[in-house]
Amino acid sequence: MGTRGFRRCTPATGLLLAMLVWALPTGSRAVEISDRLSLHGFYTLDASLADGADVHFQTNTSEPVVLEDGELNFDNSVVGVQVDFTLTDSLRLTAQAVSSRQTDPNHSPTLEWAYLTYDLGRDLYLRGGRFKIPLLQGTELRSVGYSRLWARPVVPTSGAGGFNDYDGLEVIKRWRLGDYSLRFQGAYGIADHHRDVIDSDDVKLISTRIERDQSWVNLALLHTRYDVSRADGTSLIGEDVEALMGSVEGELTFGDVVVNLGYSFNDAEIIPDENMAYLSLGYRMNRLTPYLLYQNRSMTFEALERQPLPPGAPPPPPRLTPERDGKLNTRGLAVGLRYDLGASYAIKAQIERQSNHDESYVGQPVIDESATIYTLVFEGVF
Amino acid sequence: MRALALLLLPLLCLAGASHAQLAVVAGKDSSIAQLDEREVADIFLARTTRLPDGSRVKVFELGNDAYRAVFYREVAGKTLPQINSYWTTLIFTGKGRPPRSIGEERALVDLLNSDPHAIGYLPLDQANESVKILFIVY
Repeated sequence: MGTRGFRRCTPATGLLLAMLVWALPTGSRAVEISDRLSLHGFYTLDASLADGADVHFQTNTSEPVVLEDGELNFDNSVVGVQVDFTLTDSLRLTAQAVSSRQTDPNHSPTLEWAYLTYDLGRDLYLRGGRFKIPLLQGTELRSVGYSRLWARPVVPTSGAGGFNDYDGLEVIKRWRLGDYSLRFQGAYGIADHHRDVIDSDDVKLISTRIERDQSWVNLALLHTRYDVSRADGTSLIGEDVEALMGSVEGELTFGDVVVNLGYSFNDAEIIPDENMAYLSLGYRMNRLTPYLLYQNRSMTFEALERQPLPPGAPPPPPRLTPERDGKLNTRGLAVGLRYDLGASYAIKAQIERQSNHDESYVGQPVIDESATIYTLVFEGVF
Repeated sequence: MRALALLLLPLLCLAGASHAQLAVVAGKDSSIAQLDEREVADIFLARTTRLPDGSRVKVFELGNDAYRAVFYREVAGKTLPQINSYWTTLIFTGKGRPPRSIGEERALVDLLNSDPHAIGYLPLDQANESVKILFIVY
């Protein structure tokens, strides 16, 4: 349990406020620096308070925030800027940087996306560079709070089994089939795991989005091979292992009622298997949208079978964390309100009850803990 | 009284715009004679970057939220916050770009007439003989 407290206003908060003052009068429009150069951005000012045990909750970046009991926390605030530079009629350069206290205490921006897009014609595009893995929509748009109904992303901090980004090539094709608009995305590259000891050899993914009127469905499938290394760079497991991940997600609109639902799985060797599902109901009343959100995540840990050390090698250092072999189940039920103050900025208030049931720590008792998280968010885009 | 009139003026303009008829237009040299509702929606929602003849389209709109509200309500069934949320998902994943915003009607007409692949929308009563009307948004 932490002491009740209030984190001081950080330089990032100051930057955020300055951006708000600058961005609000421009409304939703990008900053057009020239015919070829434009600037878009997004911001989230987040204040969260937990009532209960220490809570790890879904955050706007891939780094966790731990909410201590009674602490008012602003660490989930984030600022992002995207630059689009048109090099020729067919070639465009895009880069997106995000700054948050979560990813760096000094608020140094991190380059989240950086790629070239080549327009091949007939709504066919080739892209090369660094991308976010599009397993659930939230893995690509985790930092862009304005894009979602809820105060926080539904995807867990580990994202796509910890593989959040990849460097590679993508093909995107769009077409229409009767009343349906379709988009296909295929990609090949090298994934980046948030733990340095996990090195992807390759990642292959396909994703399809089907849209009709106000509703859409997204399907994605990803396969990767990877190795786990020791601190000295030698392999811990001796051979590459595989992970297969997939997701199905949709938004269905029935008049003023909007239903969001999604399911994702991660069937992996070494890293934990993971299943996640969520269901949300929202009711649009002009600018106000009250919503309910239920989510359930299950992680299954398996004890690691280690490769024998070479003869004469020094013994491995003792484990820093206890071994895990079993299940961790997390459930959350949230009720919230989104109010669109203007065309491109909104406030959201959310109360969430989260409970964890963790029987994964070897030789330790089962942990049952729960907490209530109160979140107030002001966010927008330009 | 004058202050009250000044306060009410934007609301009256907004109310007027909410009933405005808009026209999707191109320059006089455009090869496109007309568009249907689905083609208009696909182009203005960035589901395609091509005109029906296969040429790459450049899409513009007036930087006027009252007109934008009418246009996207009629063409896409979306409110302004909903359309901005839609653009957010495309812009920040690089899968589409919104129409480029132009400040004034006159500048938009000039742009349309300088590029045969450009389209935009105007209030119907300002879509005169200097542009080609492709579709009327009711």
